[in-house]
Amino acid sequence: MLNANKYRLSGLAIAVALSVTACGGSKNIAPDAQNVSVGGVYSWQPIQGSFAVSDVNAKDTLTITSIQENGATITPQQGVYTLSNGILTVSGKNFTYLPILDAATTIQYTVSDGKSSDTATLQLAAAVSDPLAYQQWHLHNTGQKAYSLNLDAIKAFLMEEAGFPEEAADAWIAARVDPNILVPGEDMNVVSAFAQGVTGNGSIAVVVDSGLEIAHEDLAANVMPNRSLNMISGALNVTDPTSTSAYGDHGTSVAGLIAAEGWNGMGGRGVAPHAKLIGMNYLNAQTDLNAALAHGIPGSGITESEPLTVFNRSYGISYPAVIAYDEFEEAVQGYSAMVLRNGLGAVNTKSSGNSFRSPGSASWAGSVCNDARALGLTCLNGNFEPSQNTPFYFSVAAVNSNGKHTSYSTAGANVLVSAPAGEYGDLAPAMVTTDQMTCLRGYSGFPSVEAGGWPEFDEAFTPFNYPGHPENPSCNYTSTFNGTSSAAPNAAGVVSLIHSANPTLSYREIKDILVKTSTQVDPDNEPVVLTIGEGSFVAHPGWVENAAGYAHNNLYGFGRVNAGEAVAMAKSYAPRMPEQYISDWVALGTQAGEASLALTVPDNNADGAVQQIEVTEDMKVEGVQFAFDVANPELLSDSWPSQTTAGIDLAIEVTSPSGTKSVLLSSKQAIVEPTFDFSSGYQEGYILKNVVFLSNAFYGENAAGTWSIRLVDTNGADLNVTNSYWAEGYKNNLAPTVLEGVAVRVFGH
Amino acid sequence: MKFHLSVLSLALCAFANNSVAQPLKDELLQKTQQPQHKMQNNTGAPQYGVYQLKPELIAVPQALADNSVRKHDIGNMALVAASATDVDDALAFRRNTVVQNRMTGELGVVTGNISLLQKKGADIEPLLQQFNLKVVRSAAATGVYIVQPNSDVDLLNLLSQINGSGLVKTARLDILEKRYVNQ
Repeated sequence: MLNANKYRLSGLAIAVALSVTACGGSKNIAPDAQNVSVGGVYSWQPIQGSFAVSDVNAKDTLTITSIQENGATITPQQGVYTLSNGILTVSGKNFTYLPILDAATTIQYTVSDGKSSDTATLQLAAAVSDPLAYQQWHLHNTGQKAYSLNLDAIKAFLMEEAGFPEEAADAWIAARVDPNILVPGEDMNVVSAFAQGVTGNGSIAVVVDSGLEIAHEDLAANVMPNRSLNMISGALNVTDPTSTSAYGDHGTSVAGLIAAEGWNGMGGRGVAPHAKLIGMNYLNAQTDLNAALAHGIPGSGITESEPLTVFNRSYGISYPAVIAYDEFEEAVQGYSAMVLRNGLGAVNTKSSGNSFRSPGSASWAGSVCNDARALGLTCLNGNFEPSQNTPFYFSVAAVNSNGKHTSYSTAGANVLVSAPAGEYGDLAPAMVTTDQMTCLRGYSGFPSVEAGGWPEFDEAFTPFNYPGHPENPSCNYTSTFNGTSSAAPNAAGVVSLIHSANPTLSYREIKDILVKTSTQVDPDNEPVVLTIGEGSFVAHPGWVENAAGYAHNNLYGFGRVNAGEAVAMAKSYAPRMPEQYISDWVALGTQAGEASLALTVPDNNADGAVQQIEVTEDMKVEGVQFAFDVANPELLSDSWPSQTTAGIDLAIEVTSPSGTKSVLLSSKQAIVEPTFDFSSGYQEGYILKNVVFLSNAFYGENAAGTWSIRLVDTNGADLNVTNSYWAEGYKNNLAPTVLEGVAVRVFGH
Repeated sequence: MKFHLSVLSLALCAFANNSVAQPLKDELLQKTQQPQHKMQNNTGAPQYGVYQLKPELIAVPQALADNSVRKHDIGNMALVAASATDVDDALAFRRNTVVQNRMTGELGVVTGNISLLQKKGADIEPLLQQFNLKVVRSAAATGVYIVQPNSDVDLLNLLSQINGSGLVKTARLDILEKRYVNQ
């Protein structure tokens, strides 16, 4: 139907047109534009259409010359118009609309044949969406608060419930709220991945965790029927790992971050909303057998040929000592990474840990990490856990809504990438994700509020979790999920998108894409330099660009995962990686079964002890493992009434043949007991005994040449602490630390 | 102040399952954290690695447990006072023996399985025959085997023999426990 308003040619124009015709010129008839209505719009997914334009002069070239919204002309950038609710890309008579916000959009478009023009309306329907997605900053950061920073209510609470005078309440808030915590754009660029048509189809993610509520309203459609495992022996329904906890099921919240169903009008959405889910409640039945099943060995229900993309592992052990190398675990990990998916391998995303500021739950270690806290060094190191020092697990650190390091995320040279997770959801955003259904259980719901003992606190600080919130009426969702527990599944979601974009990629190629496409966050992250006597030691070097051009940071790995860039690279990934090659261990001293190297590490001396080791293989690095035997006779499990600082003081720096440095141990960390192995116990007198550290920092470099390993004792004084198990605290080591053996092994091609 | 210190322990339970604890409430409660108890060597009870045998307890399926002597649950196993059972050899590591992990402080149950990493290129059959074992599950492609003795034996003694045989790279007892937590 023609728009009558489009034909208001003035009398003069008509006269001119008639005179031109009378003189024998060709008659130009204005183009026609008709109103267009577009339905089937899905949030963050592009929709294509055509402007309804025509011209009776078939040879006329029609051009969209103007787009107006609310009466204002929108200026395009290379054919791209940024509208109030989305992005319109115009190409000839066609358009692509990417809805960013969910509201309906109406614009006026003008078409011209070069002489005349016509204008009509383009109506884009409200996007089919998920009601909580607008708060999921990790997917698309608009500066939203994700239900945190409820400052008026918090101030009222402080005054009314905690007895603060108004000024004190203001001061309390000001001291704890980072005014720069909300930064638009600091996200995983998921919208760009969706805009490329990739939403996770064809990928399968296994949530190895405490459980998975397979009937959850926002997960059920993605849960693979009868594929989950309840590993508790004697379980009534062995394919239902739904948790019976009243206080929240960690695995259910993890699953929502990976693959909460998208565009179903419920909850939020996962990073890969069309990926499929399997749950295994391994954490409720931890045995070696179940661990192996949770890596997909025969009997787990996982076949070697199916597109099993990723296992997410948001769990670990945080202990103030280093756990010895675990060959059995590495072999189990290797099965999932090298056998599944017809040998292409499944990815394992692993939370790096939440022990940046404290030694896990081992509060008996006291305030051993106060110096580390003050300096910005990690208290525990991801490499303390043997599961994190193999190339088969991708260790994932956590970043905030401003792109920077969270308060808790454990650092280490083993960290591969980082992903959003946020803080606690009270004074800074956390994750909005799925929670156990109903207000009768879950992180949001009556039991958690009652157990917390201070309902008014919860209502003020975490209102979304408090029963009765209008956007969470059934308490099926939470706004306080956080930790590297959240970072790992967010990365797992990106892995699912990469696999969905190109199912032929191996797990190593997926790693390669993550390394090459992750975003360097916090680019000004400062080094931490320790003064040691007359010298110094760089305990945290910040971002270090290696000889292959990749920048690594022990806080962030290669940066925050970038779904859009990763998917784009996956679609055209070339050349394919050569077959993996794993070198033999190149070992010296006790690591080679020979006499101790007996290399003394002088106390409080920046020169330290340096050992060189030669690698002859001409190969490109994907990961490097270093094995150590480092002794100090004072570090004993039964050292009452004091403990030595020898483990706390030890720093290790490795320099590659290309000159790149990677800090394996920063010093100031909580190593307050000897190395131990679960099946052989303490290795008395050893800071490190058959301990392996992984560094990802040398990715892409050539392994051949001399590797230089420098051990430094960074402190010469006692360490005064509070709340320690040891009555006399930590005494500076009188006996020097000794390097007895070292070895290196390279994974690469 | 409307909060109640008496519920703090419950609060800790509630948030222990979250990935990171909530510090603000603790701060406002002016709650001073008491140092967690550090496990000690003790008793002279047999040990395996970091595991100390708890001869006073034995694990039985929950369905069979006498609730009057039930102390703790792990998975579907109930830990009951050993004196209430007719289990012999309480001082040996056998299937369903209860242990305590010194690092985590958590109780665990000896499953009776042994986790093996095969030597590269080796055949598992001679090992199975020599030590009267059966395979429970395996990932032969990477040399991973979970095996079980065909009879009820002292597992530490068997483990020692297996490790000493030269037929495996590593061998260890498989223990049901809560070693890992969400993080």
